Amino acid sequence: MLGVVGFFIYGRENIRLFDSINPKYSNQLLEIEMFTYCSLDIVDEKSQRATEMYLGQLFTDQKYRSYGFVTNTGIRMVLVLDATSAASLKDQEIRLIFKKFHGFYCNTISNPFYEIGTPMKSRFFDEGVKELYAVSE
Amino acid sequence: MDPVEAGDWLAGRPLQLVFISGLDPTNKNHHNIIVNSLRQNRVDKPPLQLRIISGELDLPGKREKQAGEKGILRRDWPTKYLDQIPALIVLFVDLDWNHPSWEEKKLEAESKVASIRSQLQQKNGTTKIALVMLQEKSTNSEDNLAAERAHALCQICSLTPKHLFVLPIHGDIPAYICKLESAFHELAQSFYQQKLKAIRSRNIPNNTPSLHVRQLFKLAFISELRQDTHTALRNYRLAYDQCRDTLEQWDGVDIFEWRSVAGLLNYKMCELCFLHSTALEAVNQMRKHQSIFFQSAPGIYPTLNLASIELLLWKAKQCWHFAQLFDQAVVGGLTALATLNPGTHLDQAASIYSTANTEISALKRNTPVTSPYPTPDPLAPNTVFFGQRPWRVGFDGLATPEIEASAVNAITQRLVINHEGVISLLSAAMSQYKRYNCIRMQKKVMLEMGNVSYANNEIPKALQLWSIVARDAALPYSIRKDIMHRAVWASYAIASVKDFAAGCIQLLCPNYSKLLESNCETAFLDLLASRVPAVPFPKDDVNLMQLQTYQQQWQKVLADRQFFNIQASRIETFLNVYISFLDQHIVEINSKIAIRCEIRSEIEKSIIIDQILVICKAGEFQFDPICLGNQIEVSSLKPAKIGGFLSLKSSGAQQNQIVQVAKVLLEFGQKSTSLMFGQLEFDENSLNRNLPVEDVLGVEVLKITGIKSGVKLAEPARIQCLIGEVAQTRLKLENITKNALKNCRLDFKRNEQKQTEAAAVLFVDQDGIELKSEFSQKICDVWPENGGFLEIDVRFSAQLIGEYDLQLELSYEFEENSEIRKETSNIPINVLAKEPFQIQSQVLNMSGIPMQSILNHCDHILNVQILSADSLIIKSVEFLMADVVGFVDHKNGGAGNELNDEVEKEEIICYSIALRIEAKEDDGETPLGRLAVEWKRNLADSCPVRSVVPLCRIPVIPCPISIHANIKTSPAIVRQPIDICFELCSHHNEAIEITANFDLNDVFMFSGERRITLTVLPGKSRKINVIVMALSAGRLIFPRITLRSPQVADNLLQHALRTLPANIFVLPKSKLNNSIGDN
Repeated sequence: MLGVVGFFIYGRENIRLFDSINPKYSNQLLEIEMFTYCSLDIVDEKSQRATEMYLGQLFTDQKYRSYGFVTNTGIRMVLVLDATSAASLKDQEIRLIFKKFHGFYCNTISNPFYEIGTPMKSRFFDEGVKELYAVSE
Repeated sequence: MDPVEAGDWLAGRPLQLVFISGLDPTNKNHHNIIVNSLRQNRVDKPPLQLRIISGELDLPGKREKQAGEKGILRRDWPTKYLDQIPALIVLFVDLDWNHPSWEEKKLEAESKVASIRSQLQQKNGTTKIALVMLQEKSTNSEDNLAAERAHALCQICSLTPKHLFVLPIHGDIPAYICKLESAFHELAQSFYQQKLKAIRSRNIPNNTPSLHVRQLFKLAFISELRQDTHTALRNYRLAYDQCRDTLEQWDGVDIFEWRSVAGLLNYKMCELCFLHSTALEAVNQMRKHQSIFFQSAPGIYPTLNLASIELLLWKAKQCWHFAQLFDQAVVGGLTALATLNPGTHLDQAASIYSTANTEISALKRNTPVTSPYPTPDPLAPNTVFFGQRPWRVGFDGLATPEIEASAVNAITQRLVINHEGVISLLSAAMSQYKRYNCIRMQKKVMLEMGNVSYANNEIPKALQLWSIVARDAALPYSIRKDIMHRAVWASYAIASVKDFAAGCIQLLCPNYSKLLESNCETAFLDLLASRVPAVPFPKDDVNLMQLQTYQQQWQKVLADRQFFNIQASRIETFLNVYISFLDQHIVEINSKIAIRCEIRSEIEKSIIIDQILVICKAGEFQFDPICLGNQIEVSSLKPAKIGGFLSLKSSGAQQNQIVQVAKVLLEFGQKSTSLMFGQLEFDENSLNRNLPVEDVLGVEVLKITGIKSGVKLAEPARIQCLIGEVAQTRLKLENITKNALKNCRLDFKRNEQKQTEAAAVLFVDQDGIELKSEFSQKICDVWPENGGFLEIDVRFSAQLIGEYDLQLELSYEFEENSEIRKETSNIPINVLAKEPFQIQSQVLNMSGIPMQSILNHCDHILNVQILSADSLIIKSVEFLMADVVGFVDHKNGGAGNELNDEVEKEEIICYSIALRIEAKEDDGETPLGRLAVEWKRNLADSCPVRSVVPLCRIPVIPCPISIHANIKTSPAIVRQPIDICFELCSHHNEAIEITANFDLNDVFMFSGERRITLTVLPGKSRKINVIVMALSAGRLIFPRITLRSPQVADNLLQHALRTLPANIFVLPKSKLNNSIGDN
């Protein structure tokens, strides 16, 4: 997997539950944050008419592209990719990433000590993003 | 150098140029009509640009190739076909077929056509020529003369018949013009078709990319003129692909030109895609364009920096152009979405433009202008080719080094930082985002506008925009932190007291202070103390000189008295105010309400708040500020909890208004004396922030009501009673006013009861003697406030069954504002009343069989069943019979006085009586009368009640003759003669002849007349005596007789016979009998 910039999970009310940015892009943190924030507008728009959980590409500018996923319970996931990198992920691969993270999300909320709606910290996610970024190297 | 614009021809769809000649609208009326019709805009008008010419034709000739001319697209080539070279020249002549001087006119027309043709040939034009004859008469199709002359005219003018038209000027000219225009359009089409062929046939030596692109562009443009937009799009695409494919081979010095051409081609393609309603294709083309050309290398010509800036400006222009096209399509009916709308492109244009501005400012900073603007201006010459460098006109390749250098100088000097341009792009983007409901993108644009304003040195505007963006709680703190960092520095730099204070208050919140280390605490305290505030971010690398300038500015500002007011709802504050009323939701208008206020700080250091003011409001009315405290010290460890009172009494607030806290002002410094006076204003939106409603102590809003009724029942009064009995209840009354009550009276007003049942209740009067329908009693003279409970006994008797409320009124007087006021309070008593018992009465015959009807003049038994509703004692039962009813037997049946029959709840007791009806007339159903029952509850001190209830009604059947049987021998003993006398009594007004027949029976031996016929006179009676001897003892069937009479119906006689006893009890012959017999 190439050019994964970051992965974000937002709650139903757009409260951020999880965020991770590829250390490689840590110097562009603000731009990535702003880009992801703007992508949520498209998530709002698309999720109203979505027939499946995967929303496809949300938003793109010269630097990044974002993809969205909304679970049945309204949890929003945003994957940000580098728009400038030569190789790009295929739609199927992006779907797989989301599916995997949906699983991680389920595992995390299964933790009886986790309070729903609060920022998440879990080894599932840590390992998941590590894997995402490792392959992007 | 700014990106080149293609020209005005790009706007609007290209139209086919047609020249009209030979019309003289000023002198000839019919020509004028024709011209007007031609100029009229119709929906179905073919895409023609009709131009009326007079005099000489001015057509451009073939261009001579000049040395040093090298380029891709000539700037004036498209305009040539739009403005100069017509597809068709139409010559109008006034000529009828039968014109007297036909031959001369024919030659005149021929000479005109020949003149146009010769001019065209000179210029190497292939424009078509058409001739329109304006005629007085319309031509008949069978007109041989016309056909002949038309043929001659065509031949002489070298025109095909297709190019000759006849227009009758007296006909429907607009319709003819419409047809003519279609014909012109067809002729023009063939002209462009011919052009296309000519262009296609030109060979391109060595497959030169620029020539290839030029040819394809020409094909596309001519196709567009031919209105074949699909072919046009294909050719534009081919040309574009050619540019893309040769991207790598572009000569470094020609990159600008190539890029300009690619941009133009992309514009045309997108325009046509939108025209074909394939918006997605246009968007994809733009994406492709961006991914190919936006990422391409800027090159190094004329200089590295300028090339980069030129590329950025070109990119911004491309985005802007596309946004324009997109917007036009949206105006034309295309549906855009949040994902796909012109706003994103405008936004992108703005961000690229902004980058260009940054580069320009860097360039200007690094290379200060030393030399004057060069003369002659190297940028002045008009370029031949699209995207050509003006200073290289006439040069093949680069110009001389001097010219090149002066061009660089000229470009550098002409470059300006255009922040306004970025802001206008951003505002356009924002309005688009607003339209598509993209709130977050709007915020992003606002942030960028703030940044640009900051760069443009419009710091107050930047601060305003930033504060709007930073207010959004959904924005990640990392971004907000960055904004605040800049905002605080900016406000420090311009020494803006309010903005700096607001920034410090925000940065002191833990959400910020965790992320951004700052010196805001000291700076804020410095500011409150009217000292030059400490540097907010001491770790930032700031020029010492600059810092000193800032501080001097602060000193200047702080020398005067300063005031700031900050709305807490617009920022995140480290101080939070929690306020509530400690009362019920509904309060009386004269009450005084306690207010609780808690101020929590999120920083450890103590802050002194000089004054806390609370302003409450009720609807539009605002109360006077309430000061809750002075010199309040707050820190994270020691929240301030203070209280105060709000008095509603004579405040101006009205009943039914909602009271709430409008705002709380935290004041720093003394308003009149301090050099620095600040207010932190918490309004409804910022009070009790982040506090769940259920955690609010007390209530947040109050409703004002009038003064509540002053007396109420301490315990609800509820009573169950029986109809007629005197029920007693004790009312426990409570004084809930804050006043002493005087002259308290308790009244029962019959007319004011809501329920009929309640109005029927009778009250025992004060003396306990009488039952009255109204009741009034004085309770006390003075009932002091908080005077505890008053207990009053009320006795009444319910007259109707059901559950109902008795509304008693308690009236009293009290003193308010030294006035005596009278008030009343309602005291409800709930009553459940029921009947003491239920009565069922029925009539039996003498044998005990229930009867549906009763026989006049005969004996019957009335049986009454009393079902008791409660444990009662029945003291007496009296039958109050109707006049027609007479008693037969008084002694038996159980009724009487002094009975004292005890019945339990739901127990039945029966009373009966033997009666006889002596109705004079046979008046159908007869009421039997009433039953008077005197009863009391089975309790020690209960009073007796006499209840009178109606008895049943029963139909009375007329009986002309009644029959009674008497046993004269008593007791009847077995095998002893028993003398029975049947007495027939006539109630008829005529004599009745009757035959009695004694029924023989196995049980009895019989002696006497078995059959006897007798006459009974009116009102008289006759007796029939029989003697029987019972052959066995026990209950035997009573000896029977049957009666027959010619005057009386058989069924009536049968009925009468049924009144006879059914059985006779015959004793055995025993010793007793013997002894009796012996006696």
